[in-house]
Amino acid sequence: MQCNQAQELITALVDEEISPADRASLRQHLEACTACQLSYQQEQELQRELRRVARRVRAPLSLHERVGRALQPGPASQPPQSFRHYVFSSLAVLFRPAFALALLTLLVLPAIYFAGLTARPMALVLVETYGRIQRGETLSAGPSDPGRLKAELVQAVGGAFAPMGYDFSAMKIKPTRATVRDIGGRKAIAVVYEGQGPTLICFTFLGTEKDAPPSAQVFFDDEKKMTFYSFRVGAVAAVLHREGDTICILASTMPAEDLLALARAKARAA
Amino acid sequence: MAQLDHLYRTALHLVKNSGQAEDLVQETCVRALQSRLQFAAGTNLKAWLTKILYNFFCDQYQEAKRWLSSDAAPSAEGDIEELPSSDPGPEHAVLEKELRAKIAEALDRVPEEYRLPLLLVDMGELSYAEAAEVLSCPIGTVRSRLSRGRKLMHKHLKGYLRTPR
Repeated sequence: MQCNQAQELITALVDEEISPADRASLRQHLEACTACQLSYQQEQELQRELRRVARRVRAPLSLHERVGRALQPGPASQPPQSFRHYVFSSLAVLFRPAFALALLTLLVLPAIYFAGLTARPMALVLVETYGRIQRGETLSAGPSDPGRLKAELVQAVGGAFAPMGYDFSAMKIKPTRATVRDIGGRKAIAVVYEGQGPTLICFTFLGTEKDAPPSAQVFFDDEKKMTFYSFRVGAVAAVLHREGDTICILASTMPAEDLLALARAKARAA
Repeated sequence: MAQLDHLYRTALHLVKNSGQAEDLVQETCVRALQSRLQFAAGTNLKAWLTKILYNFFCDQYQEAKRWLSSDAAPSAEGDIEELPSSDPGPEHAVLEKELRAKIAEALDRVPEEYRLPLLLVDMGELSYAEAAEVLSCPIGTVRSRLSRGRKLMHKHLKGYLRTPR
């Protein structure tokens, strides 16, 4: 095999798109040709870097919001005309199960899932998403600039409220990711604090103490004149309190009493 | 939502502007729903969506692209820099930022016929067959253009990639 013949086969080898026969003859050539060996290694390295860099680029929250709105029929959304036509004009998708399943999995099921959970206290529904958010299974934005992230989150909830913005740097954790959840039409911001200390998620949404689970333990902080609601969802401890018309829930796998102390320390009396 | 990330990355490299990339992806989703009956069961949804996105780009953005394809084209660097990333430390972050900028710059310098297979196969992780379907060309063409594109990218990124021992 000549080197010029080997070049395209090297590309195919890097992509694992080579026939067994070509692979065998190319391998033989590579053993004897250091220039082509180098070329093979360079292509591998280039592909590895391109993929690594590409994977770190994610669709911004605003795009998720836009697509979500476009897929949600109803007066609150402003879908493009062509989409509205689709929603109301045809049920034929039901006859294409593969497509329907794929599309549901891709875009619609999460909305249905969260909508179905709204009959339960908002706090429970949110804290149940702790594991998924922590594992990065939900869409999230990373704050290279916390100010920019905050602005983006405020925009994502229509300017109705802002994340709490607590400073947990003393615990060696800081905000690394954030997401906006829509629970039955109510939006909630989730900010993930991570670092050397225990991971913590701070949920913020507009609400009242009625959003706490009825089974939560109630603590009244006499000094701050604030009430705290402590509850658990599996291994995750959570503490809810209200600041004005905004509800804050701190959730973490740290001991419940530590989390309660933390919430009491950070809470700002309205 | 992995498909949305992929569509956005592809759109971002095609239009080089985050706002237009979002428009392109949203319209792609709308068109996908309109064209749902054309989706063949058992085929790759990612490739199908990518083809819709690329076709729409070709239809609607050619005029704009004509204006953007010269030196006046905005680099994708600015958009990518602002996108989410983990926080591996300031020094690493600076190097990452520089590499991202160089890759965006290098991609801009690669002629479109070679750049598209790079976007689809290397960055979009499509197979040759899927990329060929998106680009409406034979698989052999994808392979040869990819080979050429990688050579050009390596040349443009010399000094920024690790040198194999």
